[in-house]
Amino acid sequence: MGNLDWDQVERILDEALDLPEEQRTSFVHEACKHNPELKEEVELILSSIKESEGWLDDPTQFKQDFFDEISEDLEHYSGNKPLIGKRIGSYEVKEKIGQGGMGAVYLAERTEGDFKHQVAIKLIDSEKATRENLDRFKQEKRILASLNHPGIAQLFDGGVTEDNIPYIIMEYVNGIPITDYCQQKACPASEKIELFIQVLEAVRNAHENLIIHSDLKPDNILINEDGNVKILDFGISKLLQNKGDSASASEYSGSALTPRYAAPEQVQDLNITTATDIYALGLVLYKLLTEVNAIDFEDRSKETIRSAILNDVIPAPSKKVINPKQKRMLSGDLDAIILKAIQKEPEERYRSANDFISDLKKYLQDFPVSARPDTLSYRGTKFLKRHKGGSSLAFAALVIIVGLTFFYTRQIKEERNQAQIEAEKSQEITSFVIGLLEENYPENSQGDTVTVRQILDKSVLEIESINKSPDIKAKMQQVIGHAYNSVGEPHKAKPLLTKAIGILESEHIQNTDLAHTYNVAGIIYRDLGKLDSSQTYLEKSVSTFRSLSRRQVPEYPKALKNLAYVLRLRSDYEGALKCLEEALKIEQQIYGSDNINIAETIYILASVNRYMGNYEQALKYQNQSLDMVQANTDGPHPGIIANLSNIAVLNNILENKEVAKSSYKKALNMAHDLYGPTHPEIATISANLSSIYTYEGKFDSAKMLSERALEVSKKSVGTDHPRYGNYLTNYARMFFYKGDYRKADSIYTKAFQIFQHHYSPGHPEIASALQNMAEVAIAENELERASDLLERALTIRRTNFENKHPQLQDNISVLVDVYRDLGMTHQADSLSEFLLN
Amino acid sequence: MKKKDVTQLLSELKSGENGAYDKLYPLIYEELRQLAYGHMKYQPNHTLSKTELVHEAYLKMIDQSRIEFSDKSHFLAIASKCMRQILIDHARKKNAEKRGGKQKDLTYIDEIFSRKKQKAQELIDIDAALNELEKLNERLAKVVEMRFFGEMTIDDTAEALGVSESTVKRDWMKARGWLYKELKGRFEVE
Repeated sequence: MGNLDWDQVERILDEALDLPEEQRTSFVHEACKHNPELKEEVELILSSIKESEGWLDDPTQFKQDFFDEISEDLEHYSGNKPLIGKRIGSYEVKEKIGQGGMGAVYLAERTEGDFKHQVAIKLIDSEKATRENLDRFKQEKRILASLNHPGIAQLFDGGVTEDNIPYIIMEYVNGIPITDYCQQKACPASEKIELFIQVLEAVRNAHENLIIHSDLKPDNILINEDGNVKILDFGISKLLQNKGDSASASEYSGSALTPRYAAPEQVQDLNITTATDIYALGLVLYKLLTEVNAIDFEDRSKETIRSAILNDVIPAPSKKVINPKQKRMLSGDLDAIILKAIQKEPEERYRSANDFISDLKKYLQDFPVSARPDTLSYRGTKFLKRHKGGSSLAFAALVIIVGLTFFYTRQIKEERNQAQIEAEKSQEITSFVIGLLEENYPENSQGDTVTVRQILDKSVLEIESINKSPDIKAKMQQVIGHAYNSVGEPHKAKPLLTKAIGILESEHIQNTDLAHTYNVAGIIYRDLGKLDSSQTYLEKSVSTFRSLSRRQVPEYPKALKNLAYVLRLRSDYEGALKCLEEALKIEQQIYGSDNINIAETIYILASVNRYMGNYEQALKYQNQSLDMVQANTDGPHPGIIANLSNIAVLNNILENKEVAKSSYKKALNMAHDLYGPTHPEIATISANLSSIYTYEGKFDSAKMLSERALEVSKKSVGTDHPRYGNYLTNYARMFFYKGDYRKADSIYTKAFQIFQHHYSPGHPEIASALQNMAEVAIAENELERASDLLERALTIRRTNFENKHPQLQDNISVLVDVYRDLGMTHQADSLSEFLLN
Repeated sequence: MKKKDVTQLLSELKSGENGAYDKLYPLIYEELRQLAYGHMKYQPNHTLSKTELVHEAYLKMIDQSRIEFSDKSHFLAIASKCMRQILIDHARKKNAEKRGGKQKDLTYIDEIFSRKKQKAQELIDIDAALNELEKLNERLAKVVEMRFFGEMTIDDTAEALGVSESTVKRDWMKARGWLYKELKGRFEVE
């Protein structure tokens, strides 16, 4: 006020106020002529009087607002509680259990006979009880009441009290916020994620019913006494917002409140969608895993908070933790998943709760998550870029064929170097094929949509009409057939090889080309599952090389290895070992002691030993092979994947479960990088990893992996392939361990039918399938059936295995138990005697 | 303390006896505080029944048959001061809790619902400004205290202050204008 005389101010004010309004300005001007400061003060107060008309005129209302405002915090006042003991609906109000932004929450109960039904009743602030709101409330409560999910606190009813206060009757949840729960229990990350998936599943259910929460936060996501998720207040926020209510945070500033879980679209007052919930959930997961808030709101004004929500780049969760172990755990997939959920643009977040769930599940199973860039397409692009420059598309395509051959599955990886050398050696033929393509399809040289298969299809037509010598024609058929097989189309490869062999045999051509063509035919029949034809061709290949005295060419040991592999499949282990010994000896002569080809031979040695039951020996070979591949290659390599995968199998058999799991995970990761998500290799590894989870009782993980294996193999080999049968077996075992015997039995039976179709009745796989079905029969107490199945299995195994073979021993000991349970003591005793000897 | 005693004290106050005010003030304060708590807790439907707390206290504490009109206005004047004190205490407490208490996560919805809830700060601001106004002209501040905090009628206020009703109206106008000028910009005026 400075040196102003207040009395003077008031005197002038009084006089001015006595005057009619229109005369006041000139009066003040005159009265304060020599004192501009005085004039300013008087004018200010006069205009303030006018502006503040009505202000503070209703102290009752003002105080009521104030009481309403502070009464939320008055739980500690212990005076009488007017609502306690009153009835709302058919419930008696027991005690106040909470106070939120919308109003107070009470525990209420209804007694029906001996049964006490407890509910939570939420009273909505009188401020919100407008006519419009009440009408909408009545409409929507029906929709909300239909929302029925174990993870969502059920809304039972709602209404309006005599005093016009809207209330909601909800399921009473005795729980604590998910963040507190995890902190108290010191949950490991995996458990937090499992819990969080429960939250997402509940939210998914609501979203499917077109109900958005729009106020998700840890305080609304409770874990009850049983450890289950219960989300509170679903859809309620919508009931309470005024239509056209410009309820945006932007409207005022200066409040100490922070919209911690508000999405950008919320502070901007834009459309609220399911993506808004996804955002809040992303922040909740952020908080769960890092135990800090994604955006630091402490000591920030409303406006900077708003700006932070809209503009701040939220740091990756791994950046918010200090513990190196935690940092490692978060960085990569979890960072990517959370950051995707909390994208500023709603359309960049997960499209649905389901996608969010699926990525988290993939993370838990070590599958690549969708939130991260697809490494395969990235690799593919890189690959094409490397090879395309300057050369024609057709050539690029052939390079890809060789590349695919190179990267193909474990089962046919024996041939990959061969294919490479083949490509080099038949440069003449290859360039002829290229010339052919370019000559006849010049448009292909520019376009880039032609697939390898299309080129192969066209090449086949060209070969038919080509006028070349029979051996060149046969060689072309062999190359293209081989390429077909390499891209997973053995059916198209088969007729080409049959023709090539037909030409060569009828021309009486006896050279390495013939030997090699037999070899390729053997591979193709093997991949078609026709093992006897395969064996025949491979034996022809080997004997042709021998008769030519060409044992020192690299193709010869390759043919031997192919033969060994097929012999192994046909359970002729001794024959397989003989082939491998010879192959190893020759390769050591050709390559020295340390070479990728030798690593491969040792790999096959390992698997034959594994099938023979020599697990320790097998593991030794497997590790030797792995070391050799790693020493001779850099980066991901099929040989590393295959070895890791078998090392895992062996460690699992030898009860080193943790080594097994970590080897599988490494193999799975590398396979993803190398092959992409739908490769047969993924199926194999997934199935094997799933069986470990089955034994550990982690059935959800096991089921998911197992189904994945089936899905992938269905696409690659079809449902009539023995490999599909193996995955079915795996799947069935999961149900068996889970105790769902009916399902296990029907799936085992399906697998058995596939095996019967492919294997001879005396094949060990048939024995395994029989024993599996026997285990189910035992579990269902159908002992007669079990003993029959086990006897059949035993007969097969006795002819295939030595007495000390673990499968044989296991078969016997199970059968002994069944005999005893059946009271067949004599049979039991004589069998167990056999076991002891 | 019985009604009779309070009524007695009030007449002593009028006749200028020492200590009457000091005895009355805490009594009225406590009674009002209790009444106010009741209102705060029983809040949901109280928008509808606008009870003036100060008058409620008066009816509760004073034996109506033994009191003169002027005694009533004196009681109300003290009650107004008590009321001011009570409200400000609560407002301060509320603000302190907001600043210091357990930080709960507040969300978008909480925000919507707390949008109009700035009365506590507004009361504290008015109280502080009134203290300033008191230095310029005590009577203006008293008028606000009685009319706003005590919800006293113009009639009662005039009686308590010993001025005419038109003076009360004029004082109210000037005080309101001055407060508004001081507080404008700190909050929205409804």
